[in-house]
Amino acid sequence: MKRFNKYVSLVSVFLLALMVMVGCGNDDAPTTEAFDIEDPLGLTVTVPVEVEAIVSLTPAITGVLVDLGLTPYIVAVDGHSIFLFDDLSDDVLIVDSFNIEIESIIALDPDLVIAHDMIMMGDLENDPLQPLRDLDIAVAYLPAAANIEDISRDIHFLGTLTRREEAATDLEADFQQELSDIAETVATSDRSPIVYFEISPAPDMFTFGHSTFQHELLERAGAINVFADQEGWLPIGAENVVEANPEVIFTNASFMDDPVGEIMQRSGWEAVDAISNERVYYIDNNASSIPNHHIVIALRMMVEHLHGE
Amino acid sequence: MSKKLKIIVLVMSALLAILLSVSIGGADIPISDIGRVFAYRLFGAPLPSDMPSVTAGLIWNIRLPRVLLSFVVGASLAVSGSVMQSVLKNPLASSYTVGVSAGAGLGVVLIIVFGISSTVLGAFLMPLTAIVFGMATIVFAVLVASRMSHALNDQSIILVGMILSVFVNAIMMTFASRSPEYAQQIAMWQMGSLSMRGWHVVGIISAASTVLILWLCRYAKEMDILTFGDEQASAVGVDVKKMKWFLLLLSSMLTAVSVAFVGVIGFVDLIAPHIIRRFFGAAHRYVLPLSALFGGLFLVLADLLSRTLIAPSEIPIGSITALIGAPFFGYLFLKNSKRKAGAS
Repeated sequence: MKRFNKYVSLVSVFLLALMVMVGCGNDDAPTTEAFDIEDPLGLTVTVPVEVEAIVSLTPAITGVLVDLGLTPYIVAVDGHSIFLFDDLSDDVLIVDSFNIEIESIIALDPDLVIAHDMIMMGDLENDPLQPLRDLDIAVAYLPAAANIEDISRDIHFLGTLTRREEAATDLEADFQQELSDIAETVATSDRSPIVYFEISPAPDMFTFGHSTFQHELLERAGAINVFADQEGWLPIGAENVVEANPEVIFTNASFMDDPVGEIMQRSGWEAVDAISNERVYYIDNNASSIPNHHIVIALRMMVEHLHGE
Repeated sequence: MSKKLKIIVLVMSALLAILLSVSIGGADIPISDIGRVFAYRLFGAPLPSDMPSVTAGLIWNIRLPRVLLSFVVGASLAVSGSVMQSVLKNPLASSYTVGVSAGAGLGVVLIIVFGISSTVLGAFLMPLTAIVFGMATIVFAVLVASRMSHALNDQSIILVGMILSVFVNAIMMTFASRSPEYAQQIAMWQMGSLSMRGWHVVGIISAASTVLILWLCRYAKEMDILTFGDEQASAVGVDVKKMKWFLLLLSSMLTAVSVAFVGVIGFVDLIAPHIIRRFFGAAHRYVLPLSALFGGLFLVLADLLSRTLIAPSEIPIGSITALIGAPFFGYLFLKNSKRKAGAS
């Protein structure tokens, strides 16, 4: 009996060793393991071993993911992203970011869900994605980029999050290159026109002051924001625009057939320099309203209109 | 103070409010320049060369039409409110509180959501649907409320109006969230806006409102009789039912025309007739035209605040009127229910 016991334990040790060896030998050695990372809000994200199903709830993030080569892994996006990226799979789930149907996301069994903190409506305690966390699905929040530095931060963070560090480094380098090219062009111009940038059309016009990424775009494009002394996005009185007499007007009003024509025809605006000199231009709406690296498209359009070739 | 003197004071204050509103605005323009722009537009006097080129257009085509528009809209809403209060014999009634404004707003929003608001067809259909929806709302509100209480002089019509407003606003919100491209336009219609409407809108609203207000003023005597009570009115030969519906529909139309062009602006229609009745008594030949004056004056000043308080930004006009009007409504409501409680 004793001998038998010894025999059994010997065999089991041998079997165990064999199993371990076979286990190691059959699979490629696992190069990845789950890791923890802090998102910009300071919340810990535990990224699982495999990230093969990603949910992106905001177009700025989707844009980065697509350019990191992750398109095939995106399983659900917000309602705006779906219009912007043609290569997304046809059966990608469309999620209303402000009214998230959590169950349909869970049904996709995602590995990683990324969203702007906007969907928390400024209340960290009220995380609409908490049910996902409870199911151990990795959730990462990013604040919407408020400036160019944030855009670089987002690219790197999303690269690390999805184990695409290299692609992220390249993407960010390209972005910086574009920015410095534009800066060079701007530096050769001796003009810095006063610009009014309309982000919502008449009758109830909106523009922006400092502390917005669009304001930084105007500055980088070598322009002076006519409402630089204001802060954030704001409704603006028609009188104040006309009184300020901008040299150039930009509009990115979407859902309109002819936003430039509408501005050109405004009654009482005829004597404004931008109108009388016909310097009213449309700037791509997505490139000038979604804060990610595609802003260089908007920037190039602005520079061309402001400084010419 | 004699009535005549009081009327003169009111007329002068209205003129003063208009002048003040034309001279103060988001843009800082010296009053002498404003005078020169008027001289230039009215008598062809040359503009001084040192005046900024944008000033003339700013004063004549942005600020002046806006001030006049706010006067006409304020006048229309106020008259509409006084007719509703008289006909429904309810001091809390007005286009806004019985849901007519919201109903008319829904008509406008439908046109927006169908995407034809900027077409020629839309330009015609917009006021038309606003009128139809505004009238449908008053009919619905009165019919439902009269099932709850026959006399309509208690709170039931206000209750129905509030429920209708909430319901209609919910429909608008649903449209807004389903079609984000119109969300901002819809939000604007819910809060009202007098910005950038131009002379043609001033022309259309002035013409329609003048006709409707004068038409309503012709029935001042009938409204006086109606306030004595339905039986007395029948006794002197007024077809009470027909007259009531006619006046209600006409006043809804008056509100709807404004709503079609500037959105829902609340509380002017509630406040103006109360103030006027307090100083001039309840005779409608005074109440109607003087409410118009006061409503115009009130909205001109409210719009002045909306343009200047946080310039260069603007506060929605509906917020200003609500900030002043909502406490006033609360006061009337409490006073009214206290009186009711005391009577029973």
